[in-house]
Parts: sequence; C-alpha cells; structure tokens
Amino acid sequence: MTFLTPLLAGIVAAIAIPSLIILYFLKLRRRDLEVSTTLLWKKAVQDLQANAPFQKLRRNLLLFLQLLALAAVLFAVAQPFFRGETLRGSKHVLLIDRSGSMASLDGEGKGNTTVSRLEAAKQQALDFVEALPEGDLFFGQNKGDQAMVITFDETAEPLQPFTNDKRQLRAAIERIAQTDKGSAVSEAMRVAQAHQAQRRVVEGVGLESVNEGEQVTMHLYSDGKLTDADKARPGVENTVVYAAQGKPDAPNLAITNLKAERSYETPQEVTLFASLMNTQQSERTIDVELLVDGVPAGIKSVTLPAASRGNLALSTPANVRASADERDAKEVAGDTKVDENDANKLRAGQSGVVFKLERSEGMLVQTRLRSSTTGEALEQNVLSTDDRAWLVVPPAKRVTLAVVGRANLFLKSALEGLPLNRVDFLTTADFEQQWQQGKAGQYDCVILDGVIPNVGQQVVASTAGATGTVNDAGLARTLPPGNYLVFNVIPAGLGLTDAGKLENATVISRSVDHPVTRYVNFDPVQIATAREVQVDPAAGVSKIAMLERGPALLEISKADTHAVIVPFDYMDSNWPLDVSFVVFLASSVNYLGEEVAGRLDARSLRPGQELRDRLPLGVTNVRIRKPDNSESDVTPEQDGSILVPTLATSGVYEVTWDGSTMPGDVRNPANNRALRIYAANMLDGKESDVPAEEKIALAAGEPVTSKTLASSRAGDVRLWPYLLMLGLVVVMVEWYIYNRKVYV
Amino acid sequence: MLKTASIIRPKTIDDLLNTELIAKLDPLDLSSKRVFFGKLKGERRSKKRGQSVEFADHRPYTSGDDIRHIDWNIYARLDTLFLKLFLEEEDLSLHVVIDCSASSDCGEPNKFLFMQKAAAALGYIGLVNLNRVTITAMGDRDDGSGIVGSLRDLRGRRRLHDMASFLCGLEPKGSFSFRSAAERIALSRRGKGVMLVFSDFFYKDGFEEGLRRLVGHGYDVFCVQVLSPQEIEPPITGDLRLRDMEDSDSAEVTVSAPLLKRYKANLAAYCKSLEQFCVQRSMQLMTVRSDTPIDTLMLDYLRRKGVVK
Repeated sequence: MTFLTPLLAGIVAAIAIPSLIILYFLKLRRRDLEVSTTLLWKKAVQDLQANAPFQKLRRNLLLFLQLLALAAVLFAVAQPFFRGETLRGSKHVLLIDRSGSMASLDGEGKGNTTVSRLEAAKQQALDFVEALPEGDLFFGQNKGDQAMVITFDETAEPLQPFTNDKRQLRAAIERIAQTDKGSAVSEAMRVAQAHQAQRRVVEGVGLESVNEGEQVTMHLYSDGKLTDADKARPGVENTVVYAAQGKPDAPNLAITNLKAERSYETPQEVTLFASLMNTQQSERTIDVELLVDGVPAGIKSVTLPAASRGNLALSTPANVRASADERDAKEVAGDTKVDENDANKLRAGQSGVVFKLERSEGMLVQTRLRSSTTGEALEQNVLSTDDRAWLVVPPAKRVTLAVVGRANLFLKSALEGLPLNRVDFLTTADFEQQWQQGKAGQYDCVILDGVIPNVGQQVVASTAGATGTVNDAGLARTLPPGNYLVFNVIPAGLGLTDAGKLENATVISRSVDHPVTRYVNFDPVQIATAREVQVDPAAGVSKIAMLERGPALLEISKADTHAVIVPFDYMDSNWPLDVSFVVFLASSVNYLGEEVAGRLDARSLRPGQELRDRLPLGVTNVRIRKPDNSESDVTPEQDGSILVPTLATSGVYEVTWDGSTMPGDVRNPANNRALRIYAANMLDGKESDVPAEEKIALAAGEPVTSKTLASSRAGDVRLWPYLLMLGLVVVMVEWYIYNRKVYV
Repeated sequence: MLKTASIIRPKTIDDLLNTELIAKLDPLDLSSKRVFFGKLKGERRSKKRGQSVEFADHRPYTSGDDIRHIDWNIYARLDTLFLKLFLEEEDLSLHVVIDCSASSDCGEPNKFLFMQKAAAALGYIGLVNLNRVTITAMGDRDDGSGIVGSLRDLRGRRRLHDMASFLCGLEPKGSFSFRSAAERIALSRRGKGVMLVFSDFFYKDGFEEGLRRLVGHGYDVFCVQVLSPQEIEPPITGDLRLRDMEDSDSAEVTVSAPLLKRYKANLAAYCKSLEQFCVQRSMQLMTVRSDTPIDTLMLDYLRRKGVVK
C-alpha cells in the first residue's frame, strides 16, 4: 500500500486528534439540576468524576468509536492505494486505429458481446483511462498520470493533448468515428513524439530524442493492419503496448478492385472487372451482383479459393497493388525471397469476376457480394464495408477536338484518320473568342501547335526559356484549364525551363506503361533541332520519353489542367513521316480526350482522398450529398473547381448544381439540376484482409506482441472512498450507541 | 431529590397539626423499651420508689428515713419499724432532632415539611403526656457547631405553641457537619430518654461518626430516614450537571438506564449500611417516604417500633 499524501494526513491528524480529545473534555453542554446530594450519583458514575482528565476517557466507547471514525477519515486523507501492475510511467499515448478494417464485427465488447473492433478498442481505451492513476485530491505535487488521445487512419489526428482530466480523455475517445481509409501508424507516432518534451526534429529520421526525455508509453489499439509499421519509430525511450483488436482468423469476403473499360472500337461495350478476396481458410462460393443505376443487371456465382499459408510474398494484395516499376525493381534486385514471418502469414484467397455490358450512356455501376444460398447479405463476413463497390462509368463518346495554331498538313491528315467526333481547326483568335463565349468546354481535347492562347488565364512572371508565350508586358502565359496536346512551346509556370537548343537529337527511351507511349516506336525518329528542357523535380511533371539530354515528352497532370507536351517542333524532324506520329496522336488524343476528360479516375475515389473536380463555369447552388445522406454546400472557385475535404467513408457522393453541364453530367428531370456522381470505395486489399495481427514489427526495436489487456486494466485501487465509508459507518454506530445509552 | 418547586412554609401550629391529627394523637403516649429515670415527677411509672399512691414495697427503717413513711400498722403488729415504699411516677425525656440542612428542603412532598410535621406530632404527644420535650435543629451555623437552634425541656400542653413557633421558624439552608452536631447534642443532653433523629442521612463525611456519638448515654435512639419519592425513583434524563444543594459540588451525568439501575442499587446499599450500623449499636432505623401521611407514621410505623403506644 502506498500513500499519496501522507504528510497532509499527518498534519491533519496532529490537529484533529487532540482537538477531538479536548472536545471530549469540554464536550457536553449539560443541563444544570439541583439535587439533594450528589453522593450516590458520584458513586454511580465514578468515571464522570472530573478529578483526573484521563479517567474521563477511560473505557469510553463513544470516544473510541469517534477516534476510529477519525482514523478512517485520516487514512482517507492520506489517500492510500494499491499499485496496479502495468501502469508504470506517468505519460501515456492512446493510439486508436479507425481505419476501414476496424469496422470488422469481431471485437470483444462488454459481456461477451460482439461489437466492431473500433468499438472494442474505444471501450478498452476508456477502461484504461478509467484505471489511470489520479492525482491526489488536494494541492499536492502529484498530478496523476497523463494521457493523450490520437486516432489514425492514413493520417493521424490528435484529439486530446496530454491531460489528466479523465472527462476530456473520455470525450476524446468517444468522439472517434469509423472511417473507411487505410491505416498508417508512423504519422501518429510522430505526432505523439512531437508532444513529448525535450525532442527535436532530425532531418530525414523524423523525431529523435535529444536526451533522456520523459518516457511515454504508447498504447496501440489496432488490428495490426498497418501499411507502414516498418517505418514507424516510437522513439528510443518509449515503449509500445499493443492491444490487438479482432480475431486472427476473422473471415471476410471483399471486393478489392473494380474497373471498367470501354472497347476502343465499339465504345458501347463495357467490361467490368472485380477482384475478390477471401480470408477464410475454406473455399467460399458467393454471388456477385451487378447493379446498373440501382437496377440489377447481372449476377455471377464465384468460388473463392481458401486462404492459405506460405504463399509467395508477391501474391499478397499489397504487392499486387504495387506498381509495375516497384515490382520490376524488386525483381532486378532479386528481392523475391520470402522471409519466415511472411511464409507463416495467412494469404487471402484471390479471385475475380468479369461482367460485360452494352451501354453507351454513362452509368453508376454497383457490385455487391451476396450469399449464394440465401441471396441476402453474406454470412461469416466480419467486414461489410468492402462487400460493395461503386464505379462511375462515363458515357461512350468520341472525342471532339480543336487544333489551334497552324493547320499543318501532316497533322490534319493524321487526324483525319482517327475515329473522332469532330475536329475544328481554329486560329488563336478564334479559340480565344470561343473561350470568352464559354464554348471552349465542348472540346474534349485541344492541340496547341506552337501557340498558347491568351484567354485571361493567370499569367505568371516570365521564366527563362518559355518560348512564344511572352507578351508585351514581359509576362509568360501558362496553360488554361483543360486537356491539351502541346507542340513546340513550353508553357510557363509549370516548372519547365528551356535550356537551349539540342541538335540532331534522338529519343532514347520511353515509358512502356504510359498509354501515350505504349505503342509508339521512336526508333526511326530523328530530330534536327530539339529543345533541352530542364524540369523542376518538385513540379509534378512526369517525363514519358527522353532525349539524350532532357525529356522528349512530358505529361503535366493537375487538378484542372492535363497536358502532354512535345517541346520540339515535329516539323524539324522526320517524325510526321513515320507511322509512329499517327500512333502517338491517336493515343494522346484518346488518353487526354477520353480517359481524362471522362474523369474516370477523378470520379472513382478512395476514402482518404479529397474530392477535387471542375464544374462548368458560372454554376450556382452547388451541393454535395454524402453516403450517409447528409448534404452540405460546396462553394466552387472562380474557375469552377471544387474541393471537398478528405472523404471519410465509402459510398456514392452526389454533387448537384444549377447551371450548365459538362460532358458526362446528367440532369435530374425532376428539379432540373445537374448531377455528377463520384464513387468512393475502400478497395483496399490490406484493409479487407481483416485477420488481426498478433505481432507488429516496427522500424525500431523488437516486434511488439499483443498483450491481453486484463492486466493493464488493473489500475490503482484507491482506498479513500472505502475509508470514508467506514468512517461514516462508525459514526452511525457511535450515534446508535449514544442514543441507546441515553434514552432507552 | 429535586428542589421543591414552590413550598408553603408552615406558620402556625395549625399548619403543622390539624385537629383530625390531634384527635388521633391524643390517646398516644411515648414509650421506650427501656425505662429511664426521670427528673421531675411525671406521669410515667418509674423504677424508682417515690411519692405516689401506688404501693410498691416495704423496707426496714434506717435512721434518717422520713418518719412520715413509717408503716405504723406493721410496727404495731411486729414491733419493727418498716417504711412503706411507693412507686414513683416520673417524666420521660423526648429529644427530637431534625436535619435543617438545604438537602432536606427538597422533594415533592417536601422532606423538611414532613420532618416538621412529624416533629410537631411527636412533640405534641410528649407535651400532653407531661414529658420533657427537647427539639434540636441541626443545620448550617457560622461557628461550625452544626446546631441551628434548640428548644429545651418543654413540659406540658402550654408549651405547645412555643414548640410550634420554634419549628415554624426553622429555615433549611446550607450544610453542616453531622459529626460535630451529634457531638454537641450528646454533650448537651441531660437525663435519659428517647431521641428521634429525622434526617436523610446523606452526609458527605459519613453518618457513622455522628451516630456513634448519639448512641448511649441513656438514650433510646430512633433514626428516621426521610427520603423523597424522587430520591427513590429519580425522574431525570439526559445530559445533566447535578449540583449538590448543600456544597454546590457538581456531578456530570448522562442519565441512562444502566446508570439509574446503579443509582438505585447504590441507594439500597446505602440504606442497608445505615440500618446495619444502627442495629449493631442498638439503634433503630426507619426509612420513610416524605409522601407518607403523618398519621400513618405516628399510628402505624412509630407504634410498631414502640416509640409511641
């Protein structure tokens, strides 16, 4: 037993006990009564004789009881408690995972109920907060243990800085809401360390301890599905306590990917691919249902293979998602060995399903998993968020193209052969006029052949080397919002610098994955005069083909501007004479005009992303309706772009507005409002792979194994309430005895 | 035990003795198991031979005898001088001592009033039967003698008013030493007779020394312990500071059932020790409640004890 405030109790005792005894000497205000003699009374009450003070106290049960009650109260003042076992250290950080997988319904709630992992984690955290040692009741030095609450998914959000106020901590924990995002703990750990005293940032390493600062215990409430555990550094002096949520054999069936493709030749033909996953160690046969605009359009029965141990690491969903480059890099480095941990891990069974549809209009496609026996929701499936996925499929449409600048013969004849809706050849002035009239939006793609039109777009200060774009005021033009194929001009403000001419250049490499250069053979192309372009690495420009010095093709992808830039004049080369020129034009126009203009990617989001899109100019009353049917206003920027901050949950987001529409938007006939649909899907193999991890390997230190929380729940046992209760009981007994003595 | 709320002190003999009581008292006379020699001629037969009409005995004449008592008829027959002896009728000395301390002046009915009435009744009997009646009041006196006043050797019905006025004039107050009072009484009394001591016998310095001094010297001592009903059954409760009426000594008590039980036990033990002390010294003790009617006391209790007949 330990005392929090023994000194205080000593002082109070030194005052209270003598006071009580003195009060006993003086205690009663007695009624005076004259009697004939006190002789017999004195004999009868010898102990009341006032001769010797302590004779008075002799065998006085009431005083004894009062002293007992006082002793109980004094002990209470000293605040004795029995130390719990695991609550060492005075600072705790509660890291609570709220990512998609935490919605799995296999958490242990109170009384053996099944709740979601997040609810279970919150309950455990609340229990922990409840058990935190408190400061003493008075003005002592002991302020009690402090805790901090951080919740994380892909990002970390500190909800409550270090405090010993349990009410605030509880409120912070209860505030945590489920999201459908991925989970990354390293940022949460950095945030936690940023709140630690005596730390400084060391570049590149993150936060490192300067000296032996205050020790912090990090309590990680998660299911271990952390994408960046190998990057998470809890700090040298800090300890991590991991409380695994969920079960290691949790069954789950999930849609991990959903894609749609229209055939190039017959655009009304749509092929839908859905990747499926099974974490159960037995084969499962399920129905995959397809709904188009909410109407069932197909159902397919799929048998998913059982999850198994010891598969190659490459078959894990995370690796499946890894980009081709990374995969190549790994192959080159020979990094295909499977470590022992990986070999023992349960690999989810993977499968897929393909639907074919014929529909030229845009549509909202939904796939959902159904039990093959009942046709209802799946049984033996802990996570329901990933049983559905939505996809916005743009309408089948041929590209409307504008060529601004010289109407080059080669260009003209090359475009004539393409399956385009229309090609308009415009002068710069024509385009600028159309822009002013708001008609420029009809073009899915614009080819700028050596010019950049002045459409009042934001001008930036002249940057060296920007060619043909400098106006009289010495300012350079950047690209206006839209999709552009740019020849022979380097727009300003995009991080590109003209470093001079380059004679007799050849294209030495191209990206084989990029849709623009995938089928283009640059080998025969000789460029008489090219330009050497220096690219600012921070500008977000990707080089898709390279000259000996500098890029031959660049792609710029911003929220409202998408452009492929050819920085040299194709007329200064033999390219127009080669078939690759036509292939390049076709793939560029298709890429820019169809895929990008259709915003196929922009309208398929993942929770955690922000919704960023462009609406037609001059629209009003823009509102967004979220999957939970809540609506809010969105204010578009001057150029029509909208930004909805991070989407938390998966589902369909509907943006409606009054005003003109863009290609692909639909109009609600009921209220004549334009409607654009966005689908946010979890589609995250890592999150859907729900079996909880018992062990997490962090970047530093030993792997952290989950601990049962029973011991950490055993906080300090505070005795003062019981002592006060005892004191009260003793006082009541004393009162009873007193009354019995006097009146019975 | 509690101070009498409001007391009406007797002012005349009528307040002490009403006619009904007097009628009941008239046939009574004092008696003693022992027969004492009186000083004056009285109405009591004495063992002494003296001048009365009642013949007792003859004895031979010796020179110096009063020739008036020679039985001439015997001389004529026997030619020897014999004196005729007659029974002497003598008076009896009655000494009534009453406790006039403050402690007597309490109870409901008042203990002192009871003692006054009892003393008056006894005195009446004594006076009408031509006994010598002495009344002494023990009480607080500056000289420490413990005797407030004394009325000596009253005789005859005529002195009834003197006795009554003496008794009515007594005012109970203060405390005294029973020992010194008893000493003074013992030294001052003359002759032989009956002594009745009315008191509660609650003396802080003990009753033993005093009683030891009163016993003997030819007196038949009767102790009458007068207790108020409140002393026998205290009607008190709660936290009290009990103050002694006599010496202002205080006792703090929390009256409770066990305490009352102990008090009663102590009272019984005290009375018992007093009785035992008296019996051992040929004294008689009577404990009476102050609510006892005087005629019951006189006609029943005292008669049974042989004080009156």
